[in-house]
Amino acid sequence: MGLAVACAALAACNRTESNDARVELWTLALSPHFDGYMHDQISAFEHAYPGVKVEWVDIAYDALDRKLISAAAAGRAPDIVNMADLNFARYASLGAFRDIGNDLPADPAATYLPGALGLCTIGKHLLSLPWYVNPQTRIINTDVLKAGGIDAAHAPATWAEMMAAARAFHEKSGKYLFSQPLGEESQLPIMMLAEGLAPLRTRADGRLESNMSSPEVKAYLAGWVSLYRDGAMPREAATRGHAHLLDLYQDGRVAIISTGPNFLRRIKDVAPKAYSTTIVQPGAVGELGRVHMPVMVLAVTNTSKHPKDAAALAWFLTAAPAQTELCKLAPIMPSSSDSLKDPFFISPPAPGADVTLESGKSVAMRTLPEAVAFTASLDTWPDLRRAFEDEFKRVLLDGVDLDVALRRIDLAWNGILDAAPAAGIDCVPHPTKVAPPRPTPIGATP
Amino acid sequence: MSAAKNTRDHHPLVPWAFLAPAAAVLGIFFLGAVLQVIYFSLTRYTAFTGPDYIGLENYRRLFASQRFWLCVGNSALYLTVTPAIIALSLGAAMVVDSLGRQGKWLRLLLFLPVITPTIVAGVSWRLILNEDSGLLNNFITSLGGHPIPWLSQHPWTLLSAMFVTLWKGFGFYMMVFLAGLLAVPKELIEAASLDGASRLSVFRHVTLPALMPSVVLVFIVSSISALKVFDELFVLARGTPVTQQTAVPLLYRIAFEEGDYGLACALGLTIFVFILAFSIVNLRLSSHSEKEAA
Repeated sequence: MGLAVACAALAACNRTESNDARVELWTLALSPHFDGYMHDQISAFEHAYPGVKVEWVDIAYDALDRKLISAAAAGRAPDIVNMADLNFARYASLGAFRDIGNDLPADPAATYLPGALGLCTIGKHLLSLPWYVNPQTRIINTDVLKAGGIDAAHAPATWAEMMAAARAFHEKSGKYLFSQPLGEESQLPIMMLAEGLAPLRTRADGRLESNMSSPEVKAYLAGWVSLYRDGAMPREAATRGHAHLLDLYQDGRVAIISTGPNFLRRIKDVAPKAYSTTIVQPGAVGELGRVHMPVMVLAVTNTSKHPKDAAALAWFLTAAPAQTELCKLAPIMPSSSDSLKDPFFISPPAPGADVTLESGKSVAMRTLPEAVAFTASLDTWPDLRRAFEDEFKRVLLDGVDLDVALRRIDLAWNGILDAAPAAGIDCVPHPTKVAPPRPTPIGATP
Repeated sequence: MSAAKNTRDHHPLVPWAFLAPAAAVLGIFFLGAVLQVIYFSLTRYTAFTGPDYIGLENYRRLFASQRFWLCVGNSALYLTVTPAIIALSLGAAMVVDSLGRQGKWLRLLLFLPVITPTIVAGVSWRLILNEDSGLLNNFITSLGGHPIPWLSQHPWTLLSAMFVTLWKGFGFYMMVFLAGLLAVPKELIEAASLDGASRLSVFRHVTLPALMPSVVLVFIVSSISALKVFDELFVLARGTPVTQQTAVPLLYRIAFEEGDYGLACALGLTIFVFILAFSIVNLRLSSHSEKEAA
């Protein structure tokens, strides 16, 4: 905490705003578990920035959209808001955030993991700072896996392996090997990027255009369509988002879900039986061998009356000392490079610690350096995703032909891209290929 | 005479003074909002950026989009719930009326869905219609049939929502018809029966013409409700393609998921104009047929 205050005090030297600012901070689903942490951080910040009063409001995860849009429409948007990467791109496209590149006391590139910072920059404007991250893990119910004839030591580790084994698993057990949101909150654009497939390409005039009708993308999507139509994936994969993964897992209807280790605690509380047979392995990867890493960001709204103080608060909360403290309280990972050098992330777990939770932490930690947020830093990305979801749901649910749908997606995407300011292909993550993360030996100490 | 004189002696502004509070409330909260919506529909406006005048561009975008026409088509399809509601509620009202005092329990039972909150009803029906574990599909498969995708496939999703609208609404309209039946002159029915008219003839030539004002009311109110349907689809058809929705859920999505207030206002006004035109045509046709019946 002392270090955090010292950092903040140094940063405070750059302040130019008046000393009677009230900064409103909205966070996502931190209360009541992290009340103590947040109050400590806010006190430390207010101590380092005399005259700045922070008003903290915690919002339920599902309520953010409704509350933020209502508050903004009423002219009462918060100064700084915490949101997940997908929501961030959406609000960025609405012009919600301020470029804070010039309001920071140090170079963000030297402070944050590049895989996390990348998505915060849209069109060369730094519109947010990465906070905590959740590299995806495979949460595996070994009992359900066994019912389908698969040993935990040989659980499929890539999306291609999972797709290949899903039909036989369902036929044998009546349960599902895995699920993934394909229609609502579709993960397909993310998984496509993780496979090294390009949903966008550069046109002759340098602008981006849709690449969805290319043979490789079409073949990839056709594989998912046929898996879904064959009943090897649950119906909810088309109509429900991420929430259905947890519901099915807790009900013992699915063997593997790909999500952050932060959800382990919820599974432990809601479904102790499923939790008792749970193990955690590195997240499913595509051809590039890199795990997808959803990122929580802190962004300063463009309606803020005290943007420099708000940017200072975002910097303070995302600095290494504050992030390390937060990670000690929850199975999440920091986006700050320096946090990873802390003994907490290196030393073995304390005796008596929950093995599954610790395993989640250690697996996430191990995959973090190579993890990438497979989210394009394009302000049109949410519109592109929405157009994709609308058409792809019709393919899954209404039996629309994939070719027809892809042609419609091409048209819609090109319309969206042409109407937006020009953006280069560097907005789309295309990291190099690495070796897939090694699975943790069954029964090994985290 | 003296009372009439007193009334005439009032200052001419007195009636306006009595009207003023209601007019002010309506003016501020209704007319003001309508004018604001008309203006916003001509702007590019999101929650985070002020309105920026763009003329009729939102209307051009709206009418050029395929999803708008598909949703309008679904709204038109949803209107078919109206004749079903009239037939069912009128039938139920006749049965309850014929049971006399003994019909009060049936009346209560049929009215229960009306007082059930739509969200509660929607969630309950969602459980019953669940494609994998719902009661209805279990029943169908136990008879050797194939499960039906009630909540995910077109047109089943729309039919499921229409059924819930019907189930939830017909009790209310039954009460309207019951009130209407009280106004049917009993002597006319008795006279027709004495003249040897069958029950069907009595209904067709005596009861139904007398009930026409109620039929018109139910037709207009239930049509407007069907065109404005939201809750049922919001609960039952969440996650389905937008092309399985009707116009108002599309409006919700444009405003609160896409954050495009300008386009949402243009759609809202289009729906309003459509409902207004539909109601005027309805009213004209109904009053014409009422006159003919009289």
